[in-house]
Amino acid sequence: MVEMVLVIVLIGIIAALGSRILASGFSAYITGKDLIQTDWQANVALQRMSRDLRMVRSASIADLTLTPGTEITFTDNNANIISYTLAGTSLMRNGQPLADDINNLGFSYIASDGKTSAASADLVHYIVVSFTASRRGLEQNISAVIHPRNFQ
Amino acid sequence: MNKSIHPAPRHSGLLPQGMAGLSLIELIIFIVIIAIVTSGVMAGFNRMLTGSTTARQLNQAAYLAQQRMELILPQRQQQGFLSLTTTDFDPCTASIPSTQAICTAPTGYTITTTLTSDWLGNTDFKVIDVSVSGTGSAQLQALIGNY
Repeated sequence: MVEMVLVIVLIGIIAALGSRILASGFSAYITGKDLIQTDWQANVALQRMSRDLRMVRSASIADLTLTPGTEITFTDNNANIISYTLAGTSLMRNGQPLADDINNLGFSYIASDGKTSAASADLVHYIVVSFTASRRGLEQNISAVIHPRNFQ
Repeated sequence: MNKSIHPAPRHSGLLPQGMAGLSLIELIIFIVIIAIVTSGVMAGFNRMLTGSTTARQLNQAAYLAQQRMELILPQRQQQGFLSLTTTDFDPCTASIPSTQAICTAPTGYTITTTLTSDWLGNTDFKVIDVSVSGTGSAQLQALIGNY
C-alpha cells in the first residue's frame, strides 16, 4: 500500500512537471503561429500598398486625396481609382479585405526636401504609410516610405 | 494436498542473493538528479531563445533600412548628383535635420547612414550605405551615378 501511494505521488509529481514543459511547448507553438501570421499579414499588406502607391499617376489634387490621414484614395497609371481604408481591424483595398489584424492605419506626406510635411497633393514627394499589426497581444509597428515614380 | 515444506525465498528468484535491483530511495534520488539537470538545461535554452534575435526583429530592421534608403535615393534627383554631399544627402541627418516621425528609430534600434563620394576611386559614382543595428540588424547599399 505504501509503495502504491508513493508511486502515485511520484507519478503525480512527474506529470505536473511534464505538463508544465508540455504547456510551454504548446504556448511556444501558438505564439510562433501568431507571430508568423501577423508578420505575413503585415508583409503582404505593406508590399501590396507599396506597389500600388508607387504607381500614383501624378502629384495633383485630381489624382491624390490626402485627407483624412487614416485612408488614401488615388488614381494609378492605368486610371484605376484605388483606395485603402480600415474597416475594424481589416485593411481594405477598394472595399475588399487585404489583410487582417491591422490597426492604426495612417498616411502622411512629405515634400521634396524630405523634411517638411506636404500641405497639398501637388507638393507631395513621399508618401509615408504606417500601421500596427497585432494579434493576441503581439504587436508590430510597421511603416514605409514610398516615392511614387511619377512624382518629380 | 501437496504443501511445500520450505519457506519462500526473500529475494527474487532470478537474481542471486545480494543483487536485488534498485531500491525506491535510489530511484527517487535518480529522479531528483534528472529533474535538477533538466531544469538547468531548460533554463539555459530559455535564456538562449529569449536572448537571440528573432525573425521579427530582423524584419523590423530590414523595414527601417528600406524606408531610410527610400527617403535618401530621390534626393539624388532633387539635389543633383554633384550637390549630394556627405552632410546633406540624408534628410534625417542633414545640417538642418528632418523632424518627421520616420527619422526617429524605434527603441532599441540605431540607424546609421553614410555617403562615400567615390566608388573604388571613380568619382562618377557615389555609394550610399544604410545600416541598422541594435535589437535587429540590417545593411543596405546603393550605388548612384552621375548621368
